Amino acid sequence: MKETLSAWIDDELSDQQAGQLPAQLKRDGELRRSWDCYHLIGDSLRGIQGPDLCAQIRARLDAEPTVLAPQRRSKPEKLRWAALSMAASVAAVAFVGWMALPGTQQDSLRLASAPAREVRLVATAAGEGAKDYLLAHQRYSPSSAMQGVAPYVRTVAASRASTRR
Amino acid sequence: MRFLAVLLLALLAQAVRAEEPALSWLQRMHVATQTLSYTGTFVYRSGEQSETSRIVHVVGRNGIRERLETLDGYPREIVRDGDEVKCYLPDRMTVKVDKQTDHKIFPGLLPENLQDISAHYDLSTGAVERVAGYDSRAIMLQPRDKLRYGRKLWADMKTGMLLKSQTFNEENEPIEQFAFTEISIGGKIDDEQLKPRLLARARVWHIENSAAVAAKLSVSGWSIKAELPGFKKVTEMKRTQGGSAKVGHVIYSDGLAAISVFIEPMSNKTSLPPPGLSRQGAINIYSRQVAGHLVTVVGETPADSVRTLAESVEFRTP
Repeated sequence: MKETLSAWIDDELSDQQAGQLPAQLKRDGELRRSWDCYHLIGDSLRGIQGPDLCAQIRARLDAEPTVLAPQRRSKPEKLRWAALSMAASVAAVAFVGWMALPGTQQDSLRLASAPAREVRLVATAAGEGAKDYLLAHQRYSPSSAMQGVAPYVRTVAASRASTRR
Repeated sequence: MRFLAVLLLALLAQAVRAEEPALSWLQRMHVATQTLSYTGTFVYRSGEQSETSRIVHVVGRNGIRERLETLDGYPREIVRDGDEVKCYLPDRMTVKVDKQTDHKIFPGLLPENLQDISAHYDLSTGAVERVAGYDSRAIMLQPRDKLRYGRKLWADMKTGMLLKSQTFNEENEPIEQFAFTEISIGGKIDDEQLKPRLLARARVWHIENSAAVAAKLSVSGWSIKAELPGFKKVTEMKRTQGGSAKVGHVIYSDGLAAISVFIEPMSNKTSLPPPGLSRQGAINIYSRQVAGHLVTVVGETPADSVRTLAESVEFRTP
């Protein structure tokens, strides 16, 4: 079976030979894992991704913070939260994946050996949505007492970055 | 035994002496920035981003007045008159007005705060270096834990004026820098230089007033459970922000760095910051949703500090 699967991935099967495979994949979890695995092997050989991506994703999902559900949360919100946290995990994985491109090998090694919690704390650049918070925050920083309004340029810089996008 | 005690005391005295000049430099720097008038050009740098701004700072009978104008990138202007700060944002044709509510919390570097600073940072003085043409003393603040960033500040030897400031991350790499390239300290500064120049850019300005008032967030059921050693709650308020009234804002500080916690109803939000972590220079931002509210924590601290606070925000029906 696995040989057939491998042949299919390598595009060596006719449509007729492959006929039943999608349905079988849908039913058989073991087969799906092989499918994922073969693709990963292929991708790593081609240098597209770092190995052990499945385990990394799983580890990161395991490390997701437990949501302490407040008393009056409605169902759609819950779903939305889950979707958002999934999106965040995927984004973090995508970022790690990008870091693993050739040329930044040392970084990818460091990231790979770091615990999942640290990997998750990869920051994106603050965008338009963060502008109001930055403006409101600046004046309460004790360093503002010394620097006057100078720290406000952080906000300015952020909004400039977002207009460029 | 007695010998040991004497030795220990001597060592302790030595350590205190090493910190003392740095502490008095900090104090001097603070006094200088509160009492001196100056005009100058400074460069803000963070990663590949670099921006030049012009600043006018006038200390007068009615307090401090300041104007900051960015010289490159999209024009923006910040005008401060005593307790009131106005941000002119021509891309939104908006003036954001923020008036200080709690007069107690300023100025920031009071002697008691200096004590706090030395409890959480190792202070030392460095070499004399030239900054913007002035011989300046370098002062280093090395954090004693991973909850805060390190700083290096340069003060003019003669006046104590802060001329350059760098922030370092956990790996001791510089992540942000403010540095004057040109500054003139003291002398008469024309009032004309304090007038907002961008006013003419738009005919109609939308005025957004923060209308900040002191408030207790615990009354409406909110609590921030985490305690970051050294970070004390400075004040809490309600403000209007981005068109939404009733945004809770709690501020923590360790004497040098500050962390803001914002809590606002989701229903008011039109554009959301991305959930999780984002960054601007030395500022980390962490957002998450709790009980139909958006919790956003902003601070010039390592990511773990803002995340810890954000994840400890809880709601209980009052």
